[in-house]
Amino acid sequence: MSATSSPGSVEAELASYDPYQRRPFEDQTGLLAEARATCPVAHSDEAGGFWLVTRYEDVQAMFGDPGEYSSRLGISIPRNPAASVPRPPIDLDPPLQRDFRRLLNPLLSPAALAPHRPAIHQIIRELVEPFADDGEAELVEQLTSPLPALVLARVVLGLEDEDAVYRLKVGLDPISQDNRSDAAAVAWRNLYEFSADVLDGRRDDPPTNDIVSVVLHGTVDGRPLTRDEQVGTLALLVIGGLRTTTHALGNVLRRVVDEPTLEARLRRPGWVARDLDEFLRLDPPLPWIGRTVVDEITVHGRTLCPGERVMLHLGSANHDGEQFEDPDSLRFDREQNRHVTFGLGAHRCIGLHLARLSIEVAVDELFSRVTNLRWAGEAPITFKSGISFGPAELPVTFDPFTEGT
Amino acid sequence: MQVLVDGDRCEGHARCAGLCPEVFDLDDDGFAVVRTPDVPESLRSAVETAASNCPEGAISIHHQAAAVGDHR
Repeated sequence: MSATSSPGSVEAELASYDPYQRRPFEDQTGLLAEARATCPVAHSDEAGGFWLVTRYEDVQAMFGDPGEYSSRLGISIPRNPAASVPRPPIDLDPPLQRDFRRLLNPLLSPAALAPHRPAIHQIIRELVEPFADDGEAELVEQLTSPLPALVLARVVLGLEDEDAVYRLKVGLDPISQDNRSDAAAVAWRNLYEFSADVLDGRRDDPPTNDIVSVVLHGTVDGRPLTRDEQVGTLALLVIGGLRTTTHALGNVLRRVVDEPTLEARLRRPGWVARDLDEFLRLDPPLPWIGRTVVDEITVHGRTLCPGERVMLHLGSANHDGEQFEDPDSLRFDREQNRHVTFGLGAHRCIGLHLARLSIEVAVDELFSRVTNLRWAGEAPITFKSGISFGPAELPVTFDPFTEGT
Repeated sequence: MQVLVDGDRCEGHARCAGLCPEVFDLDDDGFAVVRTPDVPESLRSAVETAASNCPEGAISIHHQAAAVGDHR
């Protein structure tokens, strides 16, 4: 953090803070640290205008107050004009939001996912096997990008046409790139059509315990879901885990290629229980999440008015020195790591257990076949930004791994 | 010592069950439950790690006497 900046100049810089940063997080840490120190609630004029909230304690408090900081107008900044159908439960507030979570939580709990572990291993073996003996790979295209699409198709939705999900995933890129573009509007329509088609394909089947069936036949607030709620819920489950999981895994692998000693840590049994959270804290795939002010409220001297958007900056909260010692470093010896990468409170990420399981199995399978990941070529890698953030490509070379080497 | 999970605060992150599976289990919906309310001192360090990593601050640790007092 540069000690020379005055609060006024930091505020001026934050006034043009773009939600869709294309630079890696480590290039923003200085600015966000100054924001936390001098203007913890700053106004950006970008993307239709929003309040940028950067301190951990404020992000935590706002997550805990859905009555004041509503999700009803969605979590995107700016609000996407094409996303006309609300996606339960993320675009809802309690108490209806809680009803949707009660319906869906049991389907994505660790106990519900455990039986799918072999299927996820199989998916990743199918992805790793083709390149494992090549000595080189592009790990985004060959592993991190197809992985969540295949898991979604095979494990979550039970679809025969797995390629359709991957085509859909690639087609959703414009949403993440720029929420307001015409291409994003097309992508949103495709997502809703895809979700409606999946539901229609199952509508006449007898009820079962899987997600599609529960969305079709379950109840909230003592009634069946409306058609829009069914489509919106499935659309959320589809889009929610695709880019984020790709980026979460990509961010971990990027750190491992940059720092080869980390590979040994990822080979330890049970590394996900503790070490994965430190990777997730440092590089959250979802850098921020939006809320909407309900009643006028003053926070750190700034007056937030009803209807104004608020950006809860998860990346900044995760790097807050008041909460995390040496916040910009990977430190696996932290006694306390209450990162907010999956959100807090009623809206904590519903897919976090599937994401963790997918990352765990991917790392396990990858390093059962290869070792000594190195960057192929000299060029610095580029990043995909948007609603989620991670490496655009991971071109690597490696050695074959055999037990005992 | 006695270990309690505040069911109103737990949101099912499951960090506790990952860090200290000897003490914390998950119910079918994915929310934390304590396997046995009385936890041996030998697990104190693991329980403290679970408590300090709970994102919602839902886990509390009590000495036996204090816990009895709480329920009077």
